[in-house]
Amino acid sequence: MDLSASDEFEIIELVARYNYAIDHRRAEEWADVFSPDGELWADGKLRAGGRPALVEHIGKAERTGQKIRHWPCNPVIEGKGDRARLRMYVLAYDITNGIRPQILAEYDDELVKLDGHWKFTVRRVTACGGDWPVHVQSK
Amino acid sequence: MPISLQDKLDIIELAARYSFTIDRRMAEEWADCFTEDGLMISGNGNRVEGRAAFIEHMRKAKASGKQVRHWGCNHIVEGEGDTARLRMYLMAVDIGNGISPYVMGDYDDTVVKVNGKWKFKVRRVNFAAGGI
Repeated sequence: MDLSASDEFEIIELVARYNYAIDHRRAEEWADVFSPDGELWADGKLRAGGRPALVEHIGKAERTGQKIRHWPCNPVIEGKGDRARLRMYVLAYDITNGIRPQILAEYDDELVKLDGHWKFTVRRVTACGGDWPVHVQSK
Repeated sequence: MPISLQDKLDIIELAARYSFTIDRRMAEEWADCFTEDGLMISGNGNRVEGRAAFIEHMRKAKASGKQVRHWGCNHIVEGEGDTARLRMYLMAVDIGNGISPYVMGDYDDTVVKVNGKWKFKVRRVNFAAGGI
């Protein structure tokens, strides 16, 4: 069965929760948007896999002191039943000292509906322009 | 009962109407986004409360000659019945001479349904970068 409007809206809201949590350095909330075995990939490299590594990813980001805000757009959501694919753009701003674009990138994600809630199983992000935030550069 | 998908879409559209009307200095339409006793708390601590104050606030904004566009994203809407919480990102851009972002922040709002229409009861903005 095709995804419903409600499914698609929940997936878009999941993206907002991802962005809020990573930007405000809320590690547990950020890990909650992934399935327990969820993975984050950047430019073809696994950056964090599984809940402990996802939580540590935010800890590492916090320790850099860099302040980032993720601005998403162009969501394309396709799926059936409890599986979905999300593609979208993101423009991340560095707001550590002023407001300047840091990186423009594209996501190509896999999601699953677990106990009635959508979660990322794999979030793949590929840079199109600009530079990765410091915590990703250093991995 | 949790708010419906239609409620969430209406609340996101309310935020868009807020941006359209504040940027175009449409005082009455901007005040319509709030309840009669609505309250806005700006990131610099300024408070605007009640319809007459909203209209006066807009008159001052228009007189300043500043040209601005409000951008929003990352909407998270949660609520029960006739009350909801909206969180979203804000970027305010000065377009008076080029295109210069001058504020990035987060809204954390209380929204209520009055006579079938969602309105801001309290609109709070926290500045993460920049300022007014």
